[in-house]
This record gives sequence, C-alpha cells and structure tokens, in this order.
Amino acid sequence: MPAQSPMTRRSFLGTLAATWVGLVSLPVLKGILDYLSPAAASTAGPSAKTFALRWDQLVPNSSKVLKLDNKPVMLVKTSGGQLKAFSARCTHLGCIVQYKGDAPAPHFECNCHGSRFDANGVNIAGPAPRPLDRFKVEVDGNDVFVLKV
Amino acid sequence: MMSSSSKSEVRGVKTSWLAERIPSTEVLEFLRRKQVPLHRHTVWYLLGGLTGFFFLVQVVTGVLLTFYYSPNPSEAHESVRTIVNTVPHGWLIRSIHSWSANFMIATLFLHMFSVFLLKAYRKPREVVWITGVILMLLVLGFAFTGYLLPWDTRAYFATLIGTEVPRAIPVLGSFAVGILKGGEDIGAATLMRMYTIHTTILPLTAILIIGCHVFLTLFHGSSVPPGLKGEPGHIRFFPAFLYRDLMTWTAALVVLWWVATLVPWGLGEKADPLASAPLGIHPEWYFLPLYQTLRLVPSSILGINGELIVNLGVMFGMGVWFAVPFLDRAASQERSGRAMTVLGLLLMGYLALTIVLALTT
Repeated sequence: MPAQSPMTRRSFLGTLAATWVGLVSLPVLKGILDYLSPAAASTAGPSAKTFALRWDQLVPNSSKVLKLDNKPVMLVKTSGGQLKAFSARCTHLGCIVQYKGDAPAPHFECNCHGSRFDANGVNIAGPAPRPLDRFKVEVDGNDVFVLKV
Repeated sequence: MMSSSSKSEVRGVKTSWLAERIPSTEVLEFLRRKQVPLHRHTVWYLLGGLTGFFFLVQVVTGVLLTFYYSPNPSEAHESVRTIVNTVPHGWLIRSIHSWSANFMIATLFLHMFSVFLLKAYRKPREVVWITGVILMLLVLGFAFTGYLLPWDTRAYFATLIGTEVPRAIPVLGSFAVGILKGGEDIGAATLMRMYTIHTTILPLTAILIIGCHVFLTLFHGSSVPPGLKGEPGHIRFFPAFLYRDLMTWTAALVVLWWVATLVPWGLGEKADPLASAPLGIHPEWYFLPLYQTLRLVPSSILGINGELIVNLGVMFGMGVWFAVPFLDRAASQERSGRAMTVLGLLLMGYLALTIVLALTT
C-alpha cells in the first residue's frame, strides 16, 4: 500500500487561503443579495374594501383599469349592466390585458403573447396558465367598491 | 527660436524617457512578429475586431448620453426627449447608440457562428470560446437593461415580460425576478437597477472579459480551419492585418453614420403602466426567438409549466453551447466532424425561423 503523502506547507497554506476566501466571501455575497432583494411584496390587489369609481363612470360593454392598492385592477360593465373586477395582469407574463366588450362573445385578450380569457376571466387560449385573479365588487348607492375575494 | 537639432534632441529625450517606462517597443515588436493565416476564410477574422469597434462606439456615445439622462420614471422619457430635441447633436448620439447596439449584436452573432463553423474553438482555444459566449450573454444583458431606459411603451412591456420569464424556475426564479425588478412591479426601483447594471456592472465585467478574450486570441493566434491546414500563407498582424481592420472599421462607421442619420432611432409614447399592451407589440429582433418560443409553447406540457420548460430549454441550450469545444471530439482530433456542424446549422435555422414567424404571424 503506498504511503499517504503528507500535507505540504504549500498545500496547507493553499487550503487555508481558500477556506478564508470562502468564509469571507459567502457572508458578503449573502449580505449583498439581501441588500438587493426587495422588501416582502404586498398582496396582489386591494385586500380591504377600496373605492374604485362611481357607477355612472362606466357605460355598458366597457372597461377601465384602475390602480388600487398599487395593483392594476380592471373593472368591466357587461351589456346587462353587471359589474365585474379582475386583476388586469395577464397570468402568463404580466402584461395588461384588453377587454373586448364589442366582440360577439366578449372576452379579454393579451397582446403580448396572444392569451385569451372568456368574460369570466377563465383562460381559453394561448400560453396563460390560469384564469385572471378575480375581485369582489360591492355597490353602495353610486359608489363602486372592490375587495379581494 | 529653437533649432531643428535641439527640437529632435528634446524629442529624443522624451522618447527615451517614455520608452524606459512604457514597453511600447516590445509590444510593437510582438505585434510585428505576430502573423495572421491567409486563406479563403481570412475575411471572417475581421468580425471580432468589428464587434469590438461597435462596443467602443457604445462606450463613447453611452457616456455622452449619461450627461443628460435621468433614471427615474417621472423624468426618464422627458430627459430622452430633451436629448433628442434640444441638446446639440443629441438626436445623432442617441441614434448612433441605438443603431450601433444592433450592429454590435449582429456582428457578434456573425463572429460567433463563423468561429463555430470554422471550428476555431478547438484545442487550445477552448477558453477563448467560453469567454466569447460569456461576452454574448453580457451583450444581450446590455441590450435588455438599456431597453427600458427611454421609458416608452415598448420598453416598458419588453422589460415587464423579460423580467417575468425566470419566475417559473422554482425558488430561484422569484428571487432573481425580485433582484431584477426591485419590487413587485416595473417602477422607479426597476429603472434604477437597469440603469446601474447597464452603466456600471456590465461595462466593468465586459471590459474584464474582453481583456481575457483579446489576450488569449493574441496569445494563441487565429485558428486555421481543419480542412485548410496545407493552404495558408501568412500576413503580418502589424501593420497588414491591422490595416484591414482599420478599413473595415472606417466602412462600418460610414454605414453606421449613414443609417443613424437617415433613419433616426424613434422614441415611443411615455409608458403608461395601466394601459393594455399595444396590438402587435414585440421585442427587438435579437429577442424574437425567445418571444416566439414563449408564444408557441402551451401553458402546460404533460403537467409541466410551459414557461419552466422554456427556461430549462434555454439553460440546457446555453450549457451545450458553452461546452461545444469539449463535445466536438472530431474537431479536437483535427477532423472536420459533421455532427456539431449540423447541430449549429439546426440552431441557426431555428433562430431564423422563429424570427420570421414572429414578424409574420
């Protein structure tokens, strides 16, 4: 059996230097990454009841994108006068979707990669992996409020 | 008045003073001794230098643009408008910066594919290839981070999509997106981050890698393709090849100037984060293969998220591309093996096809 070669002074110092670099650089790297990471994100959309707009600000078959609690929320008034609220962000890669209220079958479209959602926000075509996030709408007199489901 | 002899004496003293401190004579001697193979594919050797020339144009025009640009969402678009409309020659400097970026990416890809097809990555030039692929990634990073800076509609949505792509990667994806965006949405933090990466981190890294790439290229010399070993004559790098380089750069500058003047780079409407993405929006040509792939891949394949598959595919493809010198066993034995060439041609075909599809569908 060959004799095990003893650690030389050179290899010992090399290992020591590599260990030192590792011990110093890893915490420094973690510190830098912590520094660059944004603070915890808020929830997607208004969690509390938030005033959106007045009832008469939307005509039937139209939509409006509002920034509520720092998130884009799309309010839609159907031809029957029903109000619905969705996250305006496409669930594929986050582009703002467009409401096609004048189409034979009203739906949402994303112009970025061609995703389509039906009038209830359910993904029906393209690469979007899930439906649009939905919000609850409450009407109090002429005031329309939106809150998270 | 000083006589001509005393003048030359002063020059002589100066020259020797400099020569003692800067080894310019030795460097010049090295370049004179250095030879470049002369054969029917020598013209492709010019592309690396040409890419470097466009990088230099980017540095000069980019530094000039920073004097007037303001990296925050309320002022960014207006500051670019001011550069274009008010600052003397501002429109031309911005136009050259944008066009030169496109030319640089085009010549970089031509350079990379020519190196690939001429098999110039084989031993002992593996590290030259690897530093080249790193430079390709850095240049695409420059293009991506610089794109948001004008803060117009197209820039906004391109960045929105681009920063969301890695999110599908478990754990690391959301972390990377957070670092890139600096928050949940594209906003002031994102713009500042893109600006810092574009003007500080990427240039410093690129200069370091370019230094390694050029040093190793000069050290190993230009590679002769496997089939042409018997053919080459040689020309001296200095001055003969450098003269060809200079002529190429001059022609490139004329074309760049001509295009930047006749087709000034546009500026879209100021980005509105609440507006829906405009119909027909698509990124610049060099990101179209990724864009079209994202369009083509369904949301789920065999229960696996489509975006995750795209991310894994890109990472796997990059891994293979880095490893080309080690995978091409035939080339390492100085044979012109077909397998790797076919792989490269397939890749080029895919890139071209997706670009055409993205522009026509």
